[in-house]
Amino acid sequence: MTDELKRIYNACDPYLPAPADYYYDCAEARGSSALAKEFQRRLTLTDGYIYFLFSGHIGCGKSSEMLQLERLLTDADPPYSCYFPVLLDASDYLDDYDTTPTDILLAIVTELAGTLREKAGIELKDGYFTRRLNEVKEFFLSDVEINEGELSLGNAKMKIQRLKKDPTARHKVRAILEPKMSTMIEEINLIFDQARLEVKKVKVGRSQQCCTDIVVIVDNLEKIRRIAGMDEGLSSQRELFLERYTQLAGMNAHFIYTIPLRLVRSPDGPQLEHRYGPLFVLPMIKTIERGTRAPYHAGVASLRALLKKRLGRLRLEEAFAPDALDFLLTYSGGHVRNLMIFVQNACAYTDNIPISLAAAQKAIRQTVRNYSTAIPEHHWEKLARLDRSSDQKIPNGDGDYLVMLENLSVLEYINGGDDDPFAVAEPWYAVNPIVRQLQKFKAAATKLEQESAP
Amino acid sequence: MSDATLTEVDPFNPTALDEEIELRALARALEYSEGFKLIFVRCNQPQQRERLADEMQKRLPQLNIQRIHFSEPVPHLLDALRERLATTTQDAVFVSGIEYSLPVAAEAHATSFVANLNASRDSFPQAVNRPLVLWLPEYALNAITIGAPDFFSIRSGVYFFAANLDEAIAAASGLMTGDESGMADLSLAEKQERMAAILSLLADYEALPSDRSNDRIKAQLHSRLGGLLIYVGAYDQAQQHFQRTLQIAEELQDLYLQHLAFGNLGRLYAAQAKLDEAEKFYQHSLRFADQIGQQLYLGVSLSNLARVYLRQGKLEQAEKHYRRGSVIFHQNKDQLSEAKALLGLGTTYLLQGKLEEAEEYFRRSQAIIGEVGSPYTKAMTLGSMGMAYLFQGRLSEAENSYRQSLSISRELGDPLSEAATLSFLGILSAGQGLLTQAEKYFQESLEIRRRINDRTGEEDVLRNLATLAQQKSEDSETKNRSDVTLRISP
Repeated sequence: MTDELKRIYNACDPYLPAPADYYYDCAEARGSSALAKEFQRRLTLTDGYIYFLFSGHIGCGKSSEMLQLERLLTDADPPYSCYFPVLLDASDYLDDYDTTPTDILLAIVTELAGTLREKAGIELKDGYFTRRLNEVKEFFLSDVEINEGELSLGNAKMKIQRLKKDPTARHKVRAILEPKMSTMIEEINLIFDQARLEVKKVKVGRSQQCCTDIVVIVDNLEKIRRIAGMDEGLSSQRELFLERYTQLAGMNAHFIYTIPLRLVRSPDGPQLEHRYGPLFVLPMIKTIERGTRAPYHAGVASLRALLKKRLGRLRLEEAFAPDALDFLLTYSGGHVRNLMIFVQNACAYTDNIPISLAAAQKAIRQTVRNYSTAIPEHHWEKLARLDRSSDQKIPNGDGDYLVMLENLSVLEYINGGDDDPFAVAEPWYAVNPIVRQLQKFKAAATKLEQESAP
Repeated sequence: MSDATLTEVDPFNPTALDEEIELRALARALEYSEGFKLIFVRCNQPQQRERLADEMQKRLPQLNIQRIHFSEPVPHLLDALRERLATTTQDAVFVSGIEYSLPVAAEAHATSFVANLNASRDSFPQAVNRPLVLWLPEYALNAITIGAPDFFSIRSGVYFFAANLDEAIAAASGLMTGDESGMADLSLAEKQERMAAILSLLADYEALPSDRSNDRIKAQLHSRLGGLLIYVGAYDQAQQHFQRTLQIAEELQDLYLQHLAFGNLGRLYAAQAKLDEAEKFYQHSLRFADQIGQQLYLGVSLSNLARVYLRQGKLEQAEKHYRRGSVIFHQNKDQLSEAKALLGLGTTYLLQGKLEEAEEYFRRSQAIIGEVGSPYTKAMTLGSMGMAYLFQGRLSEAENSYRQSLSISRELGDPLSEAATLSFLGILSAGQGLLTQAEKYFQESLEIRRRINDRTGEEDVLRNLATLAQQKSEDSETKNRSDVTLRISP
């Protein structure tokens, strides 16, 4: 029994994005397409390049969706074409609190060269960046490494990543590269042109198709909190995604950038949409119906299927008592990472499977305590107000609600329009089901009810 | 199947689960974990944290656990861990002392330390590659929740340990030896002057022929003198004067004087931590207050009883009595007494683990004291705030409050409060691993307690010093251990 619990515990690691054998397409229950399908659909419709902004709550499954996209791009079934994916984790290169667009461009070109080398054995013949790297290498290489000779772009990945942790070297490198920003973009585009020619010869996937083009997936870019010279938070994020649009959308390849949900739902949302095209937000898996809060069976079934994938040979009913499973699914609010955390916790509160309701309740209590103490006092009334509202919308530009989206006390859902075809893609918001049960929320809701009574 | 599995709980009750349930769950989580897992343990008191970490090691002998304690601020947890992680393979890493990097609770979420946690989230699994258990107080946990949501979102559990009530009451008892008269706010020199004056006055009254003497005034003078003697720790002398008050009161069959005399005796026993006797006398005092029908007398008796209940751990009764008292004082516009009752209510909530309510009442109490200007009550409030901070693991703020309280107690020449505050500072230092500093505080406290003949207090301090000496000797034997934290009963 302990072995089974141990297996479940480790299979439900909230840190790790779902690998292929754990991935389950919850698109229907999310009320939107899966990222991969939506992106592939847009690829077929465009003549130019796509710069696609992708957002969602922390832990809602963005990285899992991007891993799935990476897999599907190389394994596309007709009518879709295959693409060569370059998956760049911004956290490997960038300091969240000190980043410039130059750092991002350098990370992109380095990751591109490194991935081509690792996955396709392609060595880019680049003169410009190799020269630039060798101009600045003294700032981040050891004497021994400097004496090893020329630093090539395809070999620079691990070394450039050192800049993340070395602010002095980073600033020196920037001082040299920043004046050459416009040239850098031109040179990057020359590299993309060269790389495109090469990947068209690369056969990938089951069908051994040649790649049509390159797709660069930049994950964790939403975590950048400060652009050098700007205030931390929304203004930096605005600077990066709106003011630096020409740089982010100036490269000749398809790009996906992750963007903070807070910025997407801020008053800048329409402007972003105007520049980049429709934004793609990965919503929660809907577990309740809008307004009535009645169970949404398709959503619950998706969560069960998703969990089943993690159990391997074990059947759901062998792992969980029925009431325990219902309880965990209901209070996850359709948030995948929270569900993983709850399951892990439940494993720790029991000695045996099936996991009992009592263990599930204790598991949830960890989050209850956390919300009880971490939610700011002035949020309770606003939470109650949202809960009572008939349209379940958040007021445009209210910073508190943006914080609530970030700390998951409010969850975003899609597809609550029922029979209204124009409302289908409209997001709606619900108070986290755990938060709804807390004493402070109930007190705020009662007060609101009394105030609005005739 | 274990009891922990079978026992259903109210899942939405935010209070802590039983310590044993949490310990077992944490042990299981550590046993199950393969590779990096981020686990938080919320525990506010350093010495309790140390005890629980020891217990966890005892329960998991098969795991090789490295314990890292930071005793000074670090700007970047991951970098600091990289420097200190053992080169040999460890099964888990326990980290404590994070609160040093977050000295001010209100700003903790906006510090670069917290920002760096978020920024380096994805580097932790490579650097640590085993369960990482962060032992930290609630305010630090909240700061991470708010300031580093990405980091917090990959947690594999948050285990929650509340302070042990008995330990907490013992720790807080020094702050509950209050007094209802304005004499508390006199400086030491003023108290001595006042005592000399009362003694002289009493001698004059005693010298008068019985037909001209006023026994009622004599009883009140004895009562005042006894009250002042309590402040300077002269309990035996104080008792003689209170007995004399009682004797006169009974002879005169004066209800007010009997209420006063029993109240004084209650105070005397409470000051010596003889709580059952104190309760008995305060009950007598309450009965007379009832008979008199004067609301303020009733309020004083209720507050006195509440203070004893608090120290006995009868928190519901304490809350009830303080609440009634505070209402009476408020209705009768006795602001100072109301402030003290609110302080008592805050302390009651503190001991119940209701930290937000506690802080709220302390703030209300402070607001009134700001208007009334009582340094003695201000010192008490500061001490209580210090305790509230200590319970939340906000060590820098706790130390700051205690130091202010100590300074006022010294100005007032109030040895009991001074000794109690010194003991708290000793406990605080010991919990931070500053053993020499802790010893210095305990020694100062011991000297005062001996001087004022406070035997119970003296025993407590001696116990603390013994534990401290034991810890010092253990530390010198295990020099390779990076953590230095004292297990000490408050």
